[in-house]
Amino acid sequence: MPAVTRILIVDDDPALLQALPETLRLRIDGAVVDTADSAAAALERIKAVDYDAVVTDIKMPGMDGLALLNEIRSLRPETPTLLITGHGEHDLAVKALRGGAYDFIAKPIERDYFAASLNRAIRTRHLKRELDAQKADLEEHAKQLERAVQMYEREHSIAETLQRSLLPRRLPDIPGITAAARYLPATPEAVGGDWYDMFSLPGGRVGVVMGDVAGRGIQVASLMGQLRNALRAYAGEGYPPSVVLSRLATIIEPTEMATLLFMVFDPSSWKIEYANAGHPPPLVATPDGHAAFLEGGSIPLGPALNQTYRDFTADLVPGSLLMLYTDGLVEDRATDLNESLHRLRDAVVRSGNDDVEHLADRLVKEIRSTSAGSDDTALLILRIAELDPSKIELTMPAIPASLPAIRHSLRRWMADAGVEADDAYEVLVASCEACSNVIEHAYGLANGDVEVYATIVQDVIEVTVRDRGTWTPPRGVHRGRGLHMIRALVEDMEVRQTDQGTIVRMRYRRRGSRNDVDRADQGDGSQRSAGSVAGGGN
Amino acid sequence: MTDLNGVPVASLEGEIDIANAAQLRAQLTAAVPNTASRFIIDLTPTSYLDSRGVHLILEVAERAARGQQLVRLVVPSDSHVYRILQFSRVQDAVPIDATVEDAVRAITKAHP
Repeated sequence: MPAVTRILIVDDDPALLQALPETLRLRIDGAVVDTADSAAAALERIKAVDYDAVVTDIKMPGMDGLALLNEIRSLRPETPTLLITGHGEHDLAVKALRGGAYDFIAKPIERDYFAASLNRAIRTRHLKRELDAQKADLEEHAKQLERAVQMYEREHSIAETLQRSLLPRRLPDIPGITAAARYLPATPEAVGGDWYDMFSLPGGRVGVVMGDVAGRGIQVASLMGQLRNALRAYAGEGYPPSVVLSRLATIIEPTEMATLLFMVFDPSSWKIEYANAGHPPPLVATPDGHAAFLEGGSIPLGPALNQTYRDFTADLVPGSLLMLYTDGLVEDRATDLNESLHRLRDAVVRSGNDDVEHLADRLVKEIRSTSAGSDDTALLILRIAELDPSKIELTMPAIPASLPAIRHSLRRWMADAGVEADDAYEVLVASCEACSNVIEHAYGLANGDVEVYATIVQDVIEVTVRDRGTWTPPRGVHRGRGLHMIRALVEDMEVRQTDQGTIVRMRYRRRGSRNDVDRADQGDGSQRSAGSVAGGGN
Repeated sequence: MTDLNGVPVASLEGEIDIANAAQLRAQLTAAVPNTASRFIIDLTPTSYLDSRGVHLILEVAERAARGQQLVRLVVPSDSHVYRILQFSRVQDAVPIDATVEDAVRAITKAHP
């Protein structure tokens, strides 16, 4: 009960107004009693103060007690009102009760009864107030919960968008490598920090990443983004995996944690170099049916400051399968981890030289059929085959960033095929001129791909570059110069426009086989002298 | 951006294609002050260059001519980049030297 109980007594009899307050103060704890000598004066006070109870004489000049009761009912419906009736005014008392009075007190006033009734009224009033307050609290709480749910949903959808945007929409097309990736959230609501990545590195090398940031939500997704971008940047600068991981260890807070596996495949040596920060071991399967996990690594990124990592290497053979995954694939409360790993290895061995997409589908189905997969699961499978030295096919997004990757692939292919450096360089420039044109002119603002097919038949290297867009009319100096350059470099060039895009076909004859006096060398001689004349003339 | 005997030398490293030509042009324009009466662009460390690179060089040459600035290009004559520049007859717009020393000597003689 509140410390103060406010009571209003309304009566036109000054004697009663004098006597009653004292009676109530003695009998009701903390009673603060106000008085009014008319219904009109009482209404003024009631408007200003939320009384715990009102006691009014029924018979008063002007507005009487019943009329006042009516007013109170509409003004303060929760305020209990007691009416004082004259001796024998039974009808009035009944009217009062029907009109919503809490009780009536007959004159002469029996003080103890009066006090008891008033106390009951006040207690009821207090209880009602508490109930109302609790109800309001509950409603506020419910509203907060609802807001929290909405916020969680929004946060979840941001986290999900962020996480999905960090996974490659499509794995890059790297010659000799077929790859399949899967990402399975544990439940549709859960967005974890699993990610994978695959990208070309200078020198025709290929970077492959599998990582898992502990936790869920926006912060996790954004840390994942930081790690992903920093890893790409460090890797692009040519640091070995161990150095890349050691550097990443410095950008993660000690309160955060991530497991991360970074592997670099070098097609010229068929070696894979990797560093592992607490991530489940990758699996390598060779075409003769052997499969083994690549062990070696250190603790996850995060908890230990200045953690350093070391590099491990493994030899691959053509046709090898490389599989990276997150713990969701093998961690299952009911099964021993080693047993899960064995099962995974057996499943891969059984698949033989199956298509990687099929294998990915099958593994996903198996995870779903067991209780594994209660965590997020990411899976990346690569089959690394020898390049067909006679041909290469590439499909890349028609964006400037694809050009270095196209160059890497073509360089590697021509080097493997034994094309001399001078020839290779010219084929490279001619091909990339055609690709640049596609990137700049074929699709306008729309997205599209640039496709490159190249073959070597004896001494002729033939490169076809095609798009599926609508070639915009030639404009600007770039494009003219690009075509001019191609014509200067290759023996023969043909541009064909079709309904399904434009095809540029270039035939390049390798130097040693040219029957005529070598065109390029001849050019060299005359132009070099022109250059030196210009130099001497200044 | 380095300075050799008072001649600014801008070296372009790595590969030049549409992905970075605009950025390189901006860097080059910022690095060479308009008040410089002469400068050298060194393509020795350039590993790849196509028509976008050619265009970049020609634009810089054109700008230099308008500002009455002397510019020389350094490209080793046995490099692949040299051959690409030749196809586009870049040497008609900008004199080419095989080494930075040659370029500095030539540009200093012309404009001591």
